[in-house]
Amino acid sequence: MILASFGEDLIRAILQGTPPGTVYALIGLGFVLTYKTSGVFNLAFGAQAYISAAMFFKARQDWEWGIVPALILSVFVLAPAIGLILERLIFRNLRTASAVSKLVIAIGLSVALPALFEIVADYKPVAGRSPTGIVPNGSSVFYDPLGVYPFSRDELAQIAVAVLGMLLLGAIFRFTAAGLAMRAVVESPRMTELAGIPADRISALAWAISSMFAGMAGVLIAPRLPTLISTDFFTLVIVAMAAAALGRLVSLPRALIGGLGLGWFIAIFRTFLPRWSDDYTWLEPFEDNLAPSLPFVVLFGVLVFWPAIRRSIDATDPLSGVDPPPPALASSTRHPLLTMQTRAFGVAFFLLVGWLAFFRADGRWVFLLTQAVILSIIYLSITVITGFAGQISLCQGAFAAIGGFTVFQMADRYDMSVLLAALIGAFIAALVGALLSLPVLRLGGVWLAIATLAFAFFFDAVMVQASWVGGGGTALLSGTEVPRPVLGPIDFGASDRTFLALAIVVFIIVAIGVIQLREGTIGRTLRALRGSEVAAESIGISPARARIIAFAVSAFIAGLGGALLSMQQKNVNYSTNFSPVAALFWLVLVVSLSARTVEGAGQAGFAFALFGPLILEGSLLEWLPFLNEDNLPSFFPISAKWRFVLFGLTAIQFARHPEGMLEFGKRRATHKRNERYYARDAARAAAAELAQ
Amino acid sequence: MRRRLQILLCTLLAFSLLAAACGNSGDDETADTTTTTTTAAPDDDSTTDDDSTTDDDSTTDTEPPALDRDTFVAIEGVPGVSDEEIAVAVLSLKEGNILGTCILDCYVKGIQAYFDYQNSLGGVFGRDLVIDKILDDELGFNQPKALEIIADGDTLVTFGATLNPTGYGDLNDAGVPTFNWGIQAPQNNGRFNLFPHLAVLCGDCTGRAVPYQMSLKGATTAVSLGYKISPESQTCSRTVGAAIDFYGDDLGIENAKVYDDLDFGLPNGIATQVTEWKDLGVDFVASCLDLNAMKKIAEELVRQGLRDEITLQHPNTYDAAFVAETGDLFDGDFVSAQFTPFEFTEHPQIQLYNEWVDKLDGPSAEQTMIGWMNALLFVDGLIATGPVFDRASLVDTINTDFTAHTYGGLTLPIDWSRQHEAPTDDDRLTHGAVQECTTLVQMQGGTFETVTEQPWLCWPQDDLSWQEPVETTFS
Repeated sequence: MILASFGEDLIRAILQGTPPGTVYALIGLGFVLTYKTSGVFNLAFGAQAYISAAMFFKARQDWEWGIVPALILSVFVLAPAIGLILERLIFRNLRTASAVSKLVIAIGLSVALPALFEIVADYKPVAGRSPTGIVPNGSSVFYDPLGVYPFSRDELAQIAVAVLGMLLLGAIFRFTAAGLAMRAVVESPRMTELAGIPADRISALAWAISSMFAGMAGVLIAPRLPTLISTDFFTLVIVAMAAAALGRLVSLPRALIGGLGLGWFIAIFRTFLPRWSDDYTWLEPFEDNLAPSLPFVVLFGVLVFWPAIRRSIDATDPLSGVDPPPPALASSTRHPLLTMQTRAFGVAFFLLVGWLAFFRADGRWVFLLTQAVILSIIYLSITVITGFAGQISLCQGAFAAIGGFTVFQMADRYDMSVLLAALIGAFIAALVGALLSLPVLRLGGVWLAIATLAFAFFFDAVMVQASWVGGGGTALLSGTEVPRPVLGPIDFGASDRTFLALAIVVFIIVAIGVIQLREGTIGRTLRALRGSEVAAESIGISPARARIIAFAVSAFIAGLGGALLSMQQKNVNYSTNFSPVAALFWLVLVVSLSARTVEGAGQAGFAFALFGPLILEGSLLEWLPFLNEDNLPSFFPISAKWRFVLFGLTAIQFARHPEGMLEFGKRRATHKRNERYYARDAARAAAAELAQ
Repeated sequence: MRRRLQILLCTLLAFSLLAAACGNSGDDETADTTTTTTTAAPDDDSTTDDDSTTDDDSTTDTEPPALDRDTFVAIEGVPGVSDEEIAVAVLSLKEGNILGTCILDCYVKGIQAYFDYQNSLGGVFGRDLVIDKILDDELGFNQPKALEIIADGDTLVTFGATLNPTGYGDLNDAGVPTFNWGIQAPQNNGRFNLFPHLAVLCGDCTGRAVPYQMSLKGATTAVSLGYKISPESQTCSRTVGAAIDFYGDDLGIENAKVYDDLDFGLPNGIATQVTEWKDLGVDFVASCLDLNAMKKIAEELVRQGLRDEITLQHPNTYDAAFVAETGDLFDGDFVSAQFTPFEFTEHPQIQLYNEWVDKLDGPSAEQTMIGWMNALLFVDGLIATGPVFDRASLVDTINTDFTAHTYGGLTLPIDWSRQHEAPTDDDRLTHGAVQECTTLVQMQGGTFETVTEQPWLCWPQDDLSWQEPVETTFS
């Protein structure tokens, strides 16, 4: 009897896990398809799926189109068109770029595309307006062949498309010339072209197919969402990464099984654990804490403990050769006179900004400038881990949050000095960073990035909710309040300007530390590892040690910055400041501008904090003598969505200019100036020689 | 390398020692924090007086003295006040609203409608009421926008409706009266310049509303639901569960399980939990979730054939457009509105509201009414302050004189001399309302229907034993 009941419960759990599992499978298949056909770990898959789903929804609801024309528009026209545009404008030039470069661009696109679509199509999510599927009465007609758990028509359509898609795509790859050519283009476009295959056309076809699949997946998934909002798609993509990981990004059947398996596992876990924890109380903490984070724990576990992942190698073109070392920084190749001029300009600029900040700016601008300085400190952590070590970490927000929460807890519980608490928080973040780096040591490239993303979401789902981290009941009544420090006679809480001064001092200290790190043994070690890990090992460098140090230092800086940000805002404000999605945006911003320099981090910090108010809201124009708030052009304030569009799209430049757009511009300008100065030097030397 | 490391360590050590030797801002002046907000905290003894006032007549409203409103006195140096108009700012949320509900537009509409009404009466003290500034905080920029309002200093008060009000502390500290959608207790608690529309709410007080709804439906077994990610939602689900158990013996009801660990948005569905409800014999679901999640739960109940057997209690679904979209999905479910429900169309304040909101030709949503209520308290406060007013005197008047304000009968009486701080389950009266009141409407065919003759159901706060609620109106 008990066994029969157990069996029925198990079957029911499996059936209940099948619809969400199918969603994960569709996304997992999409990841594999895009990776196989383009070599891109397409984090923008959710964005592409969302666009087609929203287009389908708009055509059905607003324009009252039928299912077929709406489907043709959204899946068979719009989706491949987006794929072709992305291929032509972005990814065609990046075939030989590293997988990490492509990942960064995909993150940028995942930020930019939904916002761009919503602006262009004037689409706004409306609560309760649930998307309809591709089958009439898809969500209201159910079939229950086993008499255990019914499936809706929409879900049956999802399952059918997932299975058929896997079979069809598998057949294309295995049995058709086009499939073989697609794989060949990913492996080596140059060799493929040498064999007479038009790589460009094949690549375009691959992007059209994978985008069409993303569009179809979006339309199929949408009816599961009560309201069609892009962030829900992104969350699903993160969860479904485990499915793609199980497929190692190359196996369609494994991705399908991985997706379904994830859905089943979560359903079984949620079915049986609550019952068992009634009898075995030691299971309760697992039920309370593990359930919300299960997908991320599974993803992290798959990445860390599945040997096949560690052995997998990023798709690279064998003809692309060894990556050259990163070019020298523009600042290190400057003519001495240019260096002097640059420094003079820098000093003048900062004196002007300082004068404005400390003597003219009102409270809002002091706040924004302080935020910019503190974000610059946090972004220096990305400079260390990505700029120096060449690793993509997507959990810098979690490290920063550790700093913030430590200050909150220490001040709240022990009335500790917040400056001391900030240091403790930074050390705890460093410890967590070092510990995190241990299991992911052997992961490389994309997988390391995904593992850190899984950690960020785990931190978000579990750790923040713990009372000893996020405050629990205390936060319910008073939030996560953080006081500002007092240093001798200086009360940094009394004036925002004095706190700005403190932030600047800390930034200078951290920046000097980062430059010391870059120029020191650790920096050189990281550079050597970035060039060639094997070569570095052959001269006695330990990659493991270097990576642990890089993670720890990076986390320390992020933790310190997070603590300062919490002090500035007098509250941790976790969801505003440190959520995993916010941290993704940070990375895109820093690497787009310049990940290897202190200036890059500073510019990214200022861009994050000031771009909106200065540019989108038109404050910069308001300061012009002939304009003011009342006679600004009518298109101000520009929609905040443009922030995501513009910053997201700047990530596209990352692959072409891995040193960042600003560093690239700086180098070009330096080169031109250098030529002029050195020519003048030569002319002077020649004139002097003649005179002699 | 070693030298650099030494320098780094020495710097860190020095910084640590320095840090350890210093303190935190406000350590020595905690008591002064609220007094710097330009408004004196209410006297302790006001509690007793107010209790007796509201006990005597709980439907009393503090109406402004009508004779003063036309008196014009020239005032200088008051932010946002000129001889012609009184300008206000609105800080709300549009871009980045993760719920997809109408917040900023609806909220502004409510404020504008009330201002139009007041301006049609000749304005206040000879001046028109004007929304001068509408700022969208985009979910993550509330604090800088609040600082912008403070820095500009060209509006008298601020109206706020957002999901993440990180700037309320700054507005309070700057002495800017801020009338707001008060769903966030932490940001409003203990801040005397802030006026959340329902005062500061108790997060963990066991109430009688949900047990009563169960008894009304003849339900016996409930579960309560909350999001793990939100402390408010999590605590709410535990509190509701405790309330059901507290009145369990009286009503023959029980709470079978508290689910306080649900993922926001239910991305993995709710199928396994619903199956468990079937095993537990659940016939009532008490929820602390958003409206989108409620739709997902209802759909899963339909799938598993439980929709007719389980009643859902909705805390946040009082949204006509949303419910209309769902058709008959929520038939028979209960919703609690935060104010006298729109369905009481004979209520004078609802009639007035409908008249003026209709003139703006726009949707009437929950946020529209919140905007109306916030504007109403502001204007009542302004008129009560008198023709010579500023921010401090406005706040002081409301906090001193408005001891039973009902927004013209839209809510139970709020005593602003006491209710700026959150009550607790152990002490509901010092900072809480004299009565525990709720509204109740039922959904049917995509619309709301009244359940009671009068809009409000109330219980005394000083006697927590079970008793039937008293139907009340505050008009």
